Amino acid sequence: MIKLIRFWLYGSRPFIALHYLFPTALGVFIGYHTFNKPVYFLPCALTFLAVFFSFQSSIILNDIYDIKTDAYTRRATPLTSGGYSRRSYLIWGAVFLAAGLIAAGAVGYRIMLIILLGNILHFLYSAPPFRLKKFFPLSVIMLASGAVLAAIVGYAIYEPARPFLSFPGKAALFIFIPLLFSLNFRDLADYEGDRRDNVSSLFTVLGLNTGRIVNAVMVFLSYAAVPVILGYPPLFIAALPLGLISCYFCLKKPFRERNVFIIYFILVVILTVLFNLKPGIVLTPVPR
Amino acid sequence: MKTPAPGILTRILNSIETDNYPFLIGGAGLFAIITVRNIFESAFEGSQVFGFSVYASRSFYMIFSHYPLFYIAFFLCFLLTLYFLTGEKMSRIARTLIVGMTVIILPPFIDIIISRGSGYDLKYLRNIQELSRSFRFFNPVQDLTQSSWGQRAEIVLALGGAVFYVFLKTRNLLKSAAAPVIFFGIILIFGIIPNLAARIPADLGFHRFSPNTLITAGLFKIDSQNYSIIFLFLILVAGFFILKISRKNIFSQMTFIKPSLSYLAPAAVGIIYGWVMIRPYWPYIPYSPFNYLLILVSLLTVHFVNIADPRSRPAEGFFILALFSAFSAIAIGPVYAGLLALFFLVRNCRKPDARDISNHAARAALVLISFCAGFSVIFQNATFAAIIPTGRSAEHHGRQVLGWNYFINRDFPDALEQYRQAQNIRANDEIRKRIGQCYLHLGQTGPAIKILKDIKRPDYEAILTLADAYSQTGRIPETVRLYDSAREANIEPAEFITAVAQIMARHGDREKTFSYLARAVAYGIPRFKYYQIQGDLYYQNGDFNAARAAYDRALGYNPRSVTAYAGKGMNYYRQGDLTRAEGEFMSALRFSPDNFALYNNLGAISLLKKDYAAAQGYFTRSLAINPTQAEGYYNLGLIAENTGDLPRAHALYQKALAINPDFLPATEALKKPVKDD
Repeated sequence: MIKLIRFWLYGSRPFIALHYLFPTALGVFIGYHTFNKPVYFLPCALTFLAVFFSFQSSIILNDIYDIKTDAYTRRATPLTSGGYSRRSYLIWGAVFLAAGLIAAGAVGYRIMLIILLGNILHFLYSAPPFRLKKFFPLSVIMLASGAVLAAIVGYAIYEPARPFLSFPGKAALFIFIPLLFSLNFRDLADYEGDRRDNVSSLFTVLGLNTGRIVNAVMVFLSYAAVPVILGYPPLFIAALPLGLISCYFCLKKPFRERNVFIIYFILVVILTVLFNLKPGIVLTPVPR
Repeated sequence: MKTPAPGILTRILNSIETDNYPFLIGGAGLFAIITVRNIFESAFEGSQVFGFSVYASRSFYMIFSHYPLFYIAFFLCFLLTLYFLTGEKMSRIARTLIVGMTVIILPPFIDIIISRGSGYDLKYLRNIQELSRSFRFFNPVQDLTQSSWGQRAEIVLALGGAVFYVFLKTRNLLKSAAAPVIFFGIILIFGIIPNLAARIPADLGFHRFSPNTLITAGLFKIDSQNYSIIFLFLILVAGFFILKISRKNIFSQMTFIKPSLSYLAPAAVGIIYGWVMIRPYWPYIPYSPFNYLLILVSLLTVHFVNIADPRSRPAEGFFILALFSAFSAIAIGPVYAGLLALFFLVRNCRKPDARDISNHAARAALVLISFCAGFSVIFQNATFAAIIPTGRSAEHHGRQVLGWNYFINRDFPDALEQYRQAQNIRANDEIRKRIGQCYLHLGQTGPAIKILKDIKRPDYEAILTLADAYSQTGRIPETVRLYDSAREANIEPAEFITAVAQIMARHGDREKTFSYLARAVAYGIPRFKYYQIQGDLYYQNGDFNAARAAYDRALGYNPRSVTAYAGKGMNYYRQGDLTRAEGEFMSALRFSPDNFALYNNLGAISLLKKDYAAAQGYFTRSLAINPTQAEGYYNLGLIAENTGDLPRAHALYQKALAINPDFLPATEALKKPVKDD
């Protein structure tokens, strides 16, 4: 177990786990404000746990099927470093999957359905027979959709009957579009492995150098898109400089994923403060 | 001579066919695709209630049993078809088909866009007439009620895929043309087979229960269990063929019954014992074809669990047996599933070669478990209470089964009687709820409210029924309070807030209607519903032009909205434009052919036009669909009165009062004197 935690703490995984929890928190925030209900602490905590465990099981599945790519890129995972056998690692995956579903089921059957859907999408993304991560840009669309799903599960604590239809479109776009633009940067470190394993990404499609430039521009655009989608121009004051810094980190060699994440988290902190001060920015007004 | 390089399509196909992954991963991929379709279908189509039902148990059976088995049966039939047409290896075709099955994800997304957020009701074909109309399916300008646009796209892609695959494999035009024809035939057969099977008893002369009741109720509480049994049977048939062709060793193992006889016999005895025990209270058990399928499938499942050996290699045989058994056990019921899981554990933990007492004890345990599993097929959740014939548990369960079947069959007086008898043995909230619903259907709101208020932990249906009873007696504040408290408790808030908006609209309260509608929008109320409720409000307040405009907007968002057509029809009716009103009710009828209220409205129009023959036809049809409506008999009485047959009119008014003693129009009509000829 300690060995697993040590591996988990390696690289960007804590950041990615947090990245999935942010949309869930946003979903809770939207549900809480839209329906004027109290914060349901226990269901929220269990939902966060469910998203977390669900994400962990997805990582394990991904590691299992990316073992060749990870070996090329020398990415240390419990499998490539020989810390775990495939079988015992798979058992951990099953344990996390079960833990995620149980935590979600404790909140409600429909929450469990959404968590299960998230797991299924990750399975379709990582594992054969589909292994959709091989098909750019479908791979990025799926990852961005996964984040929207994480938001919907938080929102569904308040509105379980029609969470997909009643989830505010503006909030969905606010999550989906910037992530669609920016998530390519995660493939930069895997370029060599992806190329050898026939996985198409922005970098394998455009070539490493052009891909880097296009990626940097897209990351900048993702930051610039946030104030546009939210319809709140003052946010440009924060979004543009952060976008530029992030763009710089994407172009800088050697590439460090962690720096891009840190800038992203700074934006998230700014948005958290802003949404609490002005919830109307992210909520869709109800027509009368 | 050089062979030409394969084209890009052939290369893609080849890479799919030779993709190397184990059987279990392929199965998981197929199940993943099916589950994605089901979850999004529940969110976007039909009533748009996420998970298909507010009840987790019903939802579970739809998402994880009924629909997956439906698609798996499809998959196997397509697999067989492609095998016979191309002669290709089964495993290669299966890999291609798994990828091809991704088209099933499309319909919910296509439909939600085309319907502008309303979704479509996706149903099975009800009869041969609908089946014959399905050939108009390929007419792109026709909106067919039997299918949605997404389904059309999905089916066209499937047929196109079949042509493409067969042509690429055989280069034979005849076979390529045959493939979509056979595929479409399979799709149509699957679309109609549940309702066709349910019609068998009626065709053989059994009319006590409608085909709809047989497929919906029977021994099961959840209709999806019946559907699952049908598709399990189809999977068995197709699966046997496939295994006989491609995995002869597994086929031989599965068809060799002898090792399981010592467990099949007690399971069969358990079923017979259950049958005999329930027969006095549920005498119609032999008349449902689904019960025979159920018995067959349940016995075969016992056999499969017995021969499924997790240590066998290659593991494919074990996985096939385990997957079928798991689906089958879940479909048959939780008690049966639990018992078979126990059977599997005991079976695989014992040492078969040991000659000690533990082995004998394990065998005895397996026999006992088989017997209980057989009994649970009939008695479901009441298995352990009823298996020892002391007390009245068997009667308690049997009467509930009969009551439930009468209830689904709309025989509310008979259902009420059965539930009352069950209540005399042992009362519970489920029985109270059904009794309350029976009273309400019979128009007896007083007793309905009394018993529904006794429910200790009211669920969604109980709240809905009680609120309906309040509403019918004009106790609007209580109705709203009840819905509000349910909403506060987060029980289907979207549903209940819309219901309050609807009530307010029907009482012409403009301010509250709009206030509740605004909140309903936040809960994701479909646009058509929003405008239909607005239409009801304007109609109620006599603003007929605004009402018509609102109904038109509702129909713009959902051209299949029965409530919007009916509202528009009522709008014309009140304006005295009977011809247009009739047209709107007729339009509504296209999408809801079993709507007895619409027939009543059409009858009322014919009555006003003094077309008594037509009115008689409509009212009779309405009563045939719902024989427990006092209004229907009253209306027939009016026709008899208008045609001078006063004794018959009085008899019909009395019939109306027999159903609902509080039905005032009938009481008033009976005060008129009857002339003797």
